[in-house]
This record gives sequence, structure tokens and C-alpha cells, in this order.
Amino acid sequence: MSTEQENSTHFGYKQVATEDKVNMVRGVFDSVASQYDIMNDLMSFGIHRIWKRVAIQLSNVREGEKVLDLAGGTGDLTILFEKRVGKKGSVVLADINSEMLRTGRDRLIDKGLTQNINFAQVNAECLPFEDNSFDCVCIAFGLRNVTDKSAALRSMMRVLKPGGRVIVLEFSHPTDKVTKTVYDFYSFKLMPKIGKFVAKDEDSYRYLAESIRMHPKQDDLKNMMEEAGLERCEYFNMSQGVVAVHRGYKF
Amino acid sequence: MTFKPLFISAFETALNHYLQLDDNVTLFLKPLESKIIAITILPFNETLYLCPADDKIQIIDYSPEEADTHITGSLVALGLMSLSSNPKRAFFSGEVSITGDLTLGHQFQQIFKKLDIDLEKHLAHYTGESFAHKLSQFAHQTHDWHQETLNGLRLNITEFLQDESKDLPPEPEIALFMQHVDQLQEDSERLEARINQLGNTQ
Ligand SMILES: C[S@@+](CC[C@H](N)C(=O)[O-])C[C@H]1O[C@@H](n2cnc3c(N)ncnc32)[C@H](O)[C@@H]1O
Repeated sequence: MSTEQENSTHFGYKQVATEDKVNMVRGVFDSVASQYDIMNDLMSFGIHRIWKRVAIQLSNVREGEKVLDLAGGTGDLTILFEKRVGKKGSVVLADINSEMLRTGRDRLIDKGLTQNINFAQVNAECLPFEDNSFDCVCIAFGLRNVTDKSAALRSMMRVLKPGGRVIVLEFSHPTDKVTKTVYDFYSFKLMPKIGKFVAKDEDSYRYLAESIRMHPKQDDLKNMMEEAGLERCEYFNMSQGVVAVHRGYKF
Repeated sequence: MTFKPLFISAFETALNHYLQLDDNVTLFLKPLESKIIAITILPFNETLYLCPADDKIQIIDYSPEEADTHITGSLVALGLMSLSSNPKRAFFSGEVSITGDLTLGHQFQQIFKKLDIDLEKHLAHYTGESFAHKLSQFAHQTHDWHQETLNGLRLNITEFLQDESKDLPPEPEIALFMQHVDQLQEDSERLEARINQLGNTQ
């Protein structure tokens, strides 16, 4: 490998220096933070709610457990996890972006959720938590933005308790041609336009579309999870593979 | 692959809805806390794990810990499927077998006996109109065109229904059921709102 390759990574389809990517990703989410929830609904026609519910179900989280909602953004999953763990359990909402975290915190406080929820500004690649501290670590629509995905998976594995599980909910690769064609048109042509109109930010949404295509295929991500030491790894395609939930256990 | 989590979500919501109707739910669940009850649904041989908590039962699809008791039966025998408005149909009866902690198992069997869950309604909440739509397509046996674009969800629903078809009712019953499906389509929004409300009070 040449040094040039080692020090550069992809930002959507643009090659950029690795250190710049972290800043650029942060920029993307800074610029969409306030409209994020509206955009979520518009972009997926509200289906993301079902995807998230399926992910929560697959997390097998029970009352009293401790959950890390990594790349948790505005806290959609934190809210769902909180319901499952109840007052005896706890959820940590963690994100690299302080603007996202702030929006999330305000939203959770508005819903009266404070007691069993904590907030942490973290980079998924090097989590600042002790070994064996969570029953479940979930990263929803976040892993594709992480530069070193393997490092993130290893870090997630480390902070899991034995018997705990990693859940990755992420845009993935359509399993049939028709869906792929429709989806490509939608995400490359339509989505950035909607983004321009609603969030006044075409580039950010173009980046989102591109980063989805660069994300590892279902089987590749499953292999990466196994390499990180997770076991019983499997994935569940949703909406013809437009989205997939990957799950792995630490034993 | 995605059918199982949707099924579990629907089952969990429905089960807890039912439990909430009973004022003594906490009293009943307290002694069961931290027990794990495995349920195997025939003929799919799919196992779910019921985990009683303070005031609800949570359902998971895999448990690293071993279950305390194991109940096996068909959806119909477990009281989880009702395709007709008439509950007294012969093919709705069925055997349930219990291994492990028998007392615990029997307690749960009692719950199931009383259950009259319309799972399709609850599933409609998660899959919206399209589930009812796909279901109606299947029941009308016009699944030619969508064979091409069948995805995991749809395949699983088809398999699920085909397997269950041993229990499926004859023509007139299907017609009746289709009416329910049509009604479901119309009602899906109202239902979603209602179930969300239930979800919030849990
Ligand atoms: C698309 S949002 C997903 C938010 C939320 N999980 C949801 O599903 O609604 C992606 C989030 O990942 C965060 N993120 C990106 N790179 C990250 C990293 N290396 N570590 C932690 N969070 C990161 C972004 O700040 C952003 O809030």
C-alpha cells in the first residue's frame, strides 16, 4: 500500500485525507442537525421508524439492562431503548457531534427523560468506557460515517459484557435489481434535491447518498464483526436490503 | 428474515395489552421476575423467550441463558392466531406440551388460553398497509407478478402462511377474513394511533 492510500479515505466518492474526514463528517451533521428529524421522515417516508423498531427488537434488550446508543444523534433509539430497560436500567446517548448531542438532550428533557439517561461526546473508534460495561451497544445509521470501522467494532466489542450484543442498523445494499435502480434514482437524484429544498443543503445529502454506496456489503460487514471477535453474527435485510440490521454476541 | 422480529414486536405489544387489562398484573408477574419461558411455535419450530419484568413481559428471540420452562404448541393452540370471528372452530384447538418447570409452564398456558389476540392487526401497525396488501394478494393467490421483487419479508410471510395453511380456513372463511383485511387497510391509521398510545402508557 502506498502512503497516499494509507492517509486518505473516502468522503462519499471524494478521496480526502483521513484526518479531514472526521471534520467533514462533523460538518455534515452540524449542518443538518436542526432539520434532521424532519429530513429523516421525508427521506424514508417514515419507514425509518419501522427499521428502528426492528433493530430494537433484535437487540433483545430487557428490563434493567445497560445500553450504549452510539452515534445516537437526536436520540430516537435512546427513547425506544429507555422504554425497554425501564427505570432499573440505563442508556448512554453518545455522539461525536456536540450539536447533535445538544439537540438530542433537549429533546429527551422535553419528554421528561433524564433520570436514567447519560450523555457522552465520544468517537466510536476509541470509546472512553470500561471493558465489559454494556449489555448492548447499538450504532444506528452511524457506522458508515466512521472512518475506521474495524476499530469501532473492536471498541464496541471491548465495552460489551459477556452475553451482550452489538447491533448495527445501517443503509445497505439492495438485494434485487429493481430495488437498486429505483433506490439509486431516489438517493442520487431525488434525495439531494429534497435536501436542498428542506435543509437548504444539497451537498450534505449527496454525501449521505454516496457514503451509503461505499459502506461494506452485508456479508462483508458480517465478516468484519467476526474479525472484531463477535460471535453468532447474522444480519436481517429490511426493505429489500435498503437497510440491514447486523447482530453479534460477545460470549 | 425480518418477519420474526416484526412478529415478536406484535406479539409483545398484544400480550402486554392483554396483561394491562388485568389489575393484578404486577401481583401475577412479581414471582415470575427474572424467569425465562421458552415458547416454540409449531410447525415453524421457531422459539421465542418470554421474560417477565415488573409490569410487563418482554420477548426476545435468543437467550444466552437457559430457559426455566419450555412450552411447545401451534399459534392456534397458543391462542395467538384467530382468522375467524368464530373462535370455536375445531381446527383452532390444539395440543400444548410443557417441559422444565411445569408449574411455571402451566401458569403461562393459562394466560395463553385466555388470549384472543388478533395478530394481523398488530402486524399492520408495523408494516402498515403493505402487509395487509401482501396478505390479501397471497390469500387471493395472485402472487405471480411480485415473485420477481419478493424480498425476505414477503417470502417469510408467504412461507409463514403456507406453513400455517394446514390451519387456514376454507373459502367462505377466507372471504370473511378478506373483509377484515379490507377493513384493516382502512383502519390502519387509526390503529397505529391507538397502539402508539398503548405503547406510551406501558
Ligand atoms: C445519521 S445520524 C444517526 C442518528 C441516530 N442514530 C438515528 O438513527 O437517528 C449519524 C450520527 O453519527 C455521528 N457520528 C459520525 N461519526 C461518528 C464517530 N466516529 N463516532 C461517534 N459518532 C459519530 C454523527 O454525528 C451523527 O449524529
